[in-house]
Amino acid sequence: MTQQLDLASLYRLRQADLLPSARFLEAARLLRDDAFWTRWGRHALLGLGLAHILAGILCFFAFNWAAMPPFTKFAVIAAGIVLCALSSWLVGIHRPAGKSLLIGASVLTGVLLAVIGQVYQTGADAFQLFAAWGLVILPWVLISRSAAHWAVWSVIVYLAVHLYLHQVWLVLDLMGPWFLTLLAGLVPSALLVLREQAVRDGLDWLAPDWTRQLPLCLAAGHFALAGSGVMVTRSDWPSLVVSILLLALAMVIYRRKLPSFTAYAIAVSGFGCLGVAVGWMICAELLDPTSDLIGMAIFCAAMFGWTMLVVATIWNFLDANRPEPKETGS
Amino acid sequence: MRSVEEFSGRMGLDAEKVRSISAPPSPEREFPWPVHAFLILGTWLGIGFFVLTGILLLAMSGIARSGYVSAIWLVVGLAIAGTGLRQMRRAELGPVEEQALACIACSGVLLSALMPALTYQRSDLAALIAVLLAVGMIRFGRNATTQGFCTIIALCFLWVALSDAEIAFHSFWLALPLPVACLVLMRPARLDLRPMAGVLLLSTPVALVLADPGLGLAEPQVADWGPWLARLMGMVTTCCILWRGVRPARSRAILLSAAVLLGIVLPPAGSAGLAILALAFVLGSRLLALGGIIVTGYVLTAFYYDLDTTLLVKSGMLVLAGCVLTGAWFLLGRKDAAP
Repeated sequence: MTQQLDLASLYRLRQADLLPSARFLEAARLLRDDAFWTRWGRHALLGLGLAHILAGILCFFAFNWAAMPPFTKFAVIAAGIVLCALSSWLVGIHRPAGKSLLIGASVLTGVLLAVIGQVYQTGADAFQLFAAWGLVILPWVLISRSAAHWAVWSVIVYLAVHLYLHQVWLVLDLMGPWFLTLLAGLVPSALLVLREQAVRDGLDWLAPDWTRQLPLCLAAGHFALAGSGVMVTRSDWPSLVVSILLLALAMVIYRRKLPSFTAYAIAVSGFGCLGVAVGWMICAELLDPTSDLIGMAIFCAAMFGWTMLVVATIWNFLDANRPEPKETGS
Repeated sequence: MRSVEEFSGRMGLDAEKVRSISAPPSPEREFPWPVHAFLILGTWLGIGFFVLTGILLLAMSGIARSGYVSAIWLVVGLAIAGTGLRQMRRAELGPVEEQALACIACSGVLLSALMPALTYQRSDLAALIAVLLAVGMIRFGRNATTQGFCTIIALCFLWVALSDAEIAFHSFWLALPLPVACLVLMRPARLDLRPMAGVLLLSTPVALVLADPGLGLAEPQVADWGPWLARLMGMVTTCCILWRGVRPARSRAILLSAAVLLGIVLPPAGSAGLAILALAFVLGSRLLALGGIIVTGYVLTAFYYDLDTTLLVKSGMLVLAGCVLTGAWFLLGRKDAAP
């Protein structure tokens, strides 16, 4: 296979003094994909131009917002929603511009709900706003067949559940904070399961790798945080057990059922965080860092050594279990 | 991308030498991004404990009261930085070791620079030490992480020193390296200075936003010329990049006109964002393109909170800038105007 050069190659050539500094730009121009960057340049000019105009319009409305009667506020936002939705249909829902316009309509829907709550002082909790928002825009998400739109909707749903857990369950003291963190992590987990099933059923628009990696990172992050928090505070031990089981399940699934080294590495990294927390728990038990400065210094030195050991162990474990190079990217 | 043979032929270089030098790192060394993320975060967490240990030992040694103790810790800091630097130059280092040594070297730089600040309240001396050590790390180190973080440390100490000295519009002076960073990337030296250039590129809009009196950071004695000088710097830098990198002449003229108009209309940090985007376009770098878009978004968001200008004036400025950009898009889209 013929070796291809890119911009990074040019810097290596420069460091070896094979390429003179004065000719670097000429070489970069030679390697540059003219068609791609011409297209990018035009899209960037249009995108930035529209972004600046939109920002200017937002500033104008912000300037006049307080003086606007409620009906005008509703009318402006509703007109924006209708304009975006209609434009999306005219441009073509499955074209990038159409999908972007539908995402814009979805965002404005949330703004409208927020303004309704603000004007009428409904007394609704924030989670109710996000829940309603997610429900209302779901048909658009399904119609647009856009991974980016799905990501926006996922964030809204996550926020709805997260706020509900913290504004209701935590306040009512129904469960400990670490179990609530665990529950919040089940939202990206559920979205991940839906994603895997959808891709299996042939929904190619959800096939990009990032649609798996993003919810998995969030889920693994929640489980690792919950488990680590339990070990540091030494409370709510069932949460630790569930966290470990869920991370182990992710490891098994992405090792055997749906092989993906990147996803596997994310789950293993979650265990790395738990490993650091184990060290914290043991060191805190043995060394009592709050006693005096010397105790604290010894504790920090011990945590330094333990953390480096965990990092090196995880790295070596992943190195030993890495598949052949052709599978590395998944 | 082009093949080695085609590139070497067009540039008049030896194809065999180009092939051997430009070959990418061994694929066995490549890991997916979550592994690198865990490595970096985990290593730096560990070194965070290392630094905390050092700080506690400093506190126990009575650092703030004695010049002799301060001098000892200065030497200790230099020794730590030197040890990290020397070990990093070994040939066969694993990625964990490399990250750990980079952290240790940066910790040594930080410790050395802090000594005069803690004991004698001399932030100018601290800045001088930080800059000298950063230059040494960049010159003799081979690690991108070390280079980037030492640059950040030096910039932070410089900012504190300028602030303590009550220099007018002090954050602006940290934005001055923008043209230097662009030059480093367009006409690179043999030493790989990309991490340093990247930090300087990204810190410029941050510095210009901090320098804006409207954000309420209470910079003393702000002069009217400060923001205009920043605008001029950003405008000239963008124009130079476009002049060197854009063909044909008609497209270049359209983009240069747009750059000048935008430099006048936009806040000072806006021109810095445009300079990064222009650089990305000229070099064909997706990383710089992403950085430029993030910076532009950051500048727009920060501009919204600027208290020195009313929302109505801001609205006009932004719409005007948008019209200039959209106008450039329209003119370039005409048949004979492909850049």
